[in-house]
Amino acid sequence: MTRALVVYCHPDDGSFVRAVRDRVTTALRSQGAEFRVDDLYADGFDPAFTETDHQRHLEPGDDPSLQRYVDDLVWCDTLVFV
Amino acid sequence: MHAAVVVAHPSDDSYACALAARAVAGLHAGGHTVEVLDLYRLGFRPAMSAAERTAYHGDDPILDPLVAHHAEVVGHADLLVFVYPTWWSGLPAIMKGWLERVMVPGVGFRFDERTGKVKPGLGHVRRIVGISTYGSPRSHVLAVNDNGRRILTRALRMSCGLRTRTTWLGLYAIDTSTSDDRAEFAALVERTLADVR
Repeated sequence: MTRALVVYCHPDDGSFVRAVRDRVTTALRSQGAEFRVDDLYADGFDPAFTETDHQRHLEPGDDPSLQRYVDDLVWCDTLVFV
Repeated sequence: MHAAVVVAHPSDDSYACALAARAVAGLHAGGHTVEVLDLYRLGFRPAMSAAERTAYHGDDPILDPLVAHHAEVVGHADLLVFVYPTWWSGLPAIMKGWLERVMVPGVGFRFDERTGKVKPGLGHVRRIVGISTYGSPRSHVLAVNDNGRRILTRALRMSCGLRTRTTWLGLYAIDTSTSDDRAEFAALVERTLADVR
């Protein structure tokens, strides 16, 4: 069974892009696929690579705030970006 | 000329920050005035907010005083200089966010009221200079499109005048470069910026 990770990025819940995301998840559901959605704006995801990130760049996995994204990436076999 | 130098690196002691300093030294030597927009040191917020997205097509799309200041600096610049490390084949998120939040309608471009088409807003910019380091060798950078360079020298260039020139300085495969390579590139940056017209 497909395991899809939908990475979604738009600040406005009323946007067209949000509607597209909803159609994507509807289609995945109707195919019987498993899916997860990572909603970067809803999560308040910090886009900027920080000095701390830079220092531990070669030893990833130390930042608990990113663990869920790492787990989702390991889990999925299909990536969808909306 | 008056130059706006946009810098993106989180570490003060980074090579990118050293390159920015050399660029500024070159510009001063060439008799130019300079304003540095050091995005990390300014705590620039990269992500466009929901309120900014809502305001985007209105009369006043800029809500943040820091963004307003940067828009003003851009409005007075003859020369736009970008200094950044290429990460994930493109601009650091903070610099991409700077474009998204500063180059809004009324600054980077405007929508023609009659036709709805995009019109350039940066006709006063005479030259765009990009300075970037890359982990990959040049062949790989070209194969994956050199996205940061394309954004700055094509997309942003389209918002400028017909005669706006572009200059690109890249140091490729930095991880296997020698200190001589890096010193030479830094000198090239300073020399090139001293000579821009």
